[in-house]
Amino acid sequence: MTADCSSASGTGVPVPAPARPPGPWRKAGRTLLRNRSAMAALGVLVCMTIACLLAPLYAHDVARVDPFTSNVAGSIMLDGHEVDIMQPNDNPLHLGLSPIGPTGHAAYLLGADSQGRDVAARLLYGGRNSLLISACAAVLCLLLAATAGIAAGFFGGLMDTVLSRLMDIMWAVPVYLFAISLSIVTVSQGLKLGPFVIEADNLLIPIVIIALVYVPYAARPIRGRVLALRQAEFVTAARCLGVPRWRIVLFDILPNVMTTLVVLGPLLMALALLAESALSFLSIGVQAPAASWGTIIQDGEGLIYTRPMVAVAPGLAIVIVVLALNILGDGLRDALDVRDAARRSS
Amino acid sequence: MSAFPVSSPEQGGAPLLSVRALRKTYSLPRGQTLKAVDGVSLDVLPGEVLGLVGESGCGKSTLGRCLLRLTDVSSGQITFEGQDITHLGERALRPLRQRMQMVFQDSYASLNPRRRIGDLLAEPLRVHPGPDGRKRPAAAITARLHELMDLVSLPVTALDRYPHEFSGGQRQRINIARALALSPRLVVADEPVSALDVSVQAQIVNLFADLQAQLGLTYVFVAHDLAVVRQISTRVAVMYLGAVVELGETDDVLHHPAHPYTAALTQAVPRPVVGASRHPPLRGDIPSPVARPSGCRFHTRCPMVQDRCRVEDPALHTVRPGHQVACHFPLAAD
Repeated sequence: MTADCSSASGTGVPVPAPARPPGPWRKAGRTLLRNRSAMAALGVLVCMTIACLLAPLYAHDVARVDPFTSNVAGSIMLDGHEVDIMQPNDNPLHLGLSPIGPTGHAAYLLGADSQGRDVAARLLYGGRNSLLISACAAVLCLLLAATAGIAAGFFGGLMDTVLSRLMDIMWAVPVYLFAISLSIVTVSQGLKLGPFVIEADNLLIPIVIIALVYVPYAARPIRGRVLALRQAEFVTAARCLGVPRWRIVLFDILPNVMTTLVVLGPLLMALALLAESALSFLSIGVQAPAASWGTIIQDGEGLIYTRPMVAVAPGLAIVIVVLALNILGDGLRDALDVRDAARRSS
Repeated sequence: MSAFPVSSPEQGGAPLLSVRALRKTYSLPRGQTLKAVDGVSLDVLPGEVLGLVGESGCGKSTLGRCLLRLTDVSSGQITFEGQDITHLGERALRPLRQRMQMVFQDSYASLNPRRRIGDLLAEPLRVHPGPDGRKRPAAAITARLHELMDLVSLPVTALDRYPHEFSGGQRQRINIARALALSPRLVVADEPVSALDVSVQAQIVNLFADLQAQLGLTYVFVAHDLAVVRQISTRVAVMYLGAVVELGETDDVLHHPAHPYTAALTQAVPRPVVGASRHPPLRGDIPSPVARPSGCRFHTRCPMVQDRCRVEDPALHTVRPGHQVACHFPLAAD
C-alpha cells in the first residue's frame, strides 16, 4: 500500500486504489452524488444527449421521415386517413397554407415547419449540432483560457501585461457583436489557412468563434487563481526544493486550478449554447439544411401565431439544457469547495 | 552598517553561510522604499544553531528568505560553502538547494493540499539526482521516504494521506521531513513553531534539536519567542528594524544583554525570579521600515536615549569576546 505511493507518477491527481484514503476528487464525486438537484440536472443532460444521438433512429425507424428535404407537397397517413402536410388556413377566406400542427402520432409528432419537414426529428438532429458545438466550444475555450491564464498568472511580467491587455480589448467588445462580426466574415467566405480550407458549413467555424469570444471570461478568474497560488507558500516551498518551474506549473498549480476549470466547464457550455443558438438564428452559425436549435427557432419565427410549437420546442430545449448546466455547475462548485480551497491556499 | 563583524572566535573554521552588508528593499508607490533588511552582516558556522529574534516586522523572515535566495536581494553578498550565491539564477541555484533547505511557518500553506504526503516528500528526490549522479530509482525513493517518516516519528501510513488529515504539529513534522529529504547541511527554519499550540511547540523544538545532534545540521532558527530561542540556539542575533543590533552566545546575550532593546525583550518574557532586575519597559510600536528614524534606529523607543543616538548610527562592535552590539552606550554585564 505504501510502496506504490512513491512510484505514483506525481500527477497530484489520486490514482484510485483500494485501501487508500480517498483523494479530493473522489470526495468531491461523492458529495456530488449526494446532491439531488445536481444529479437530476445531470440526468436531464444525459437523457437529452442520448435522445439527440438517437436522432437517425427516430427519423428513419419511428417517424419514417426525412428531416432535411422540403416536403411541401407530401402527405402522411393518420388513423387511416391521408392528410396533406400543408393545409389550408382556417381563416374565413381559407387563404394560404399552414404546415400541419402537432399530430400526436410518431410521424410529425410536433408538426411540420414551413417547408413541411418533421419538427420533432429536426429538433433531435438540431440538438446534436447544438450540444456538440457548445460542448466543443466550452472545452476549447477552457484549454485556451487555462493556457493564457496560467501563463499570465504564473510568469507575470511582460507575458501578463500583453495577455491581460489582449483580454481587456476582447472584453471591451460586446461578446455577441464580436461573435457576429467574426461569423459574418467566415461564413460568407469560408476560411483559408494556408493549405487548410474550412468550408462555411463546417461546424469548426462556430466552435472556434464561440470558444474565442468567451476566452476572456474564463481566463480572468483562472489568472486570478494562479496569481494567488503563485504566492502560496507551497509554491515557494517547491522553489526552495529546487523543483523546476514546469514541474511547479504541472503538479502544484494545475491540480489546484483544475477545480476552477471543472466548475467553469458547464457554465461556459451554457453560454456557448446560447451563443450558438443566437448565431444560428441569425443564419451565421449552423448552415441549412443542417439544423440546430437556433435555426429551428428561426424557421418557426414566421409561424409563431399559427404553429407556435415550431419555435417553442427548440426554445424549451435550450432553456432546459441551460438550466440543467447551471444547476450542475453549482453542484460542482459546492462539491469541489472551490471558494474554500481558494481561501486555504492563498 | 559599515563594520563587517567577525563571528565568535571559539568555533573556528570557515563559515557555512556568510552574509555581508545585505539589503533588501521594496519599492512602494510614491517613490518610497521599504527597507526590510537594512545592511545585515553575519556568519553561520557549521554545526551551530543561530537564533534570529525580533518583533514582527523587523525583517527576520525576509532575511531568512534572502539567505536561501528565495527572494532577490537588493545589495550585499551571500556566500554559501564559499560560493557567492548572491546573483545566481534559479537554475544555477538548483544543485545547491540540496544542501540548503527551509521549514516554513505555516505548516498547512506550505504543503500542496491536493497531493499526498508521499508524493510531496518524493518531489525533491525526483527532481534531484541520486548520489550516483543519476535519476533515483523508485525503490530508492520509497526506502528514503520510510527513513524520513522514521526520522520525524510519523507512521509510514501517513505517506498515503493528504495534508488536511494531520494536526499542525504532524504537518510541521512532514515539512521537516521534506526539508531533510535531500540531507541538507543548512536548514533555515522560519518561525516553525510559532503557529503551533504551546504543548506541541516543545515537541517540535525537541525534534529540531534531536535531528541537529543526529545529523550534524546547521540551523538558522527564526523566532520571536525568546523561550524557544533559548532552548535551541547556540548563538542569537537580535534584529530591530531590518538590522542586527546584538549578536553573541545565547546565554551571554539573554542573561547579560548589552543592547537596551535586547534587555527590553528579555524583560518581556515572564520570569519566575523574585526581584529580577527591571529595565524600563518599551513604549510605543516598532517604527515603520519605510521611514526609519535617523541616527540609531532604536532611539525613538530607547529608555536610555541621548543626543548622540539621534544623529549617529551605531555600528556593530565587539563589547566582549564573541559578543557584538550596535549601541553607543551598551549596558555593562552585571
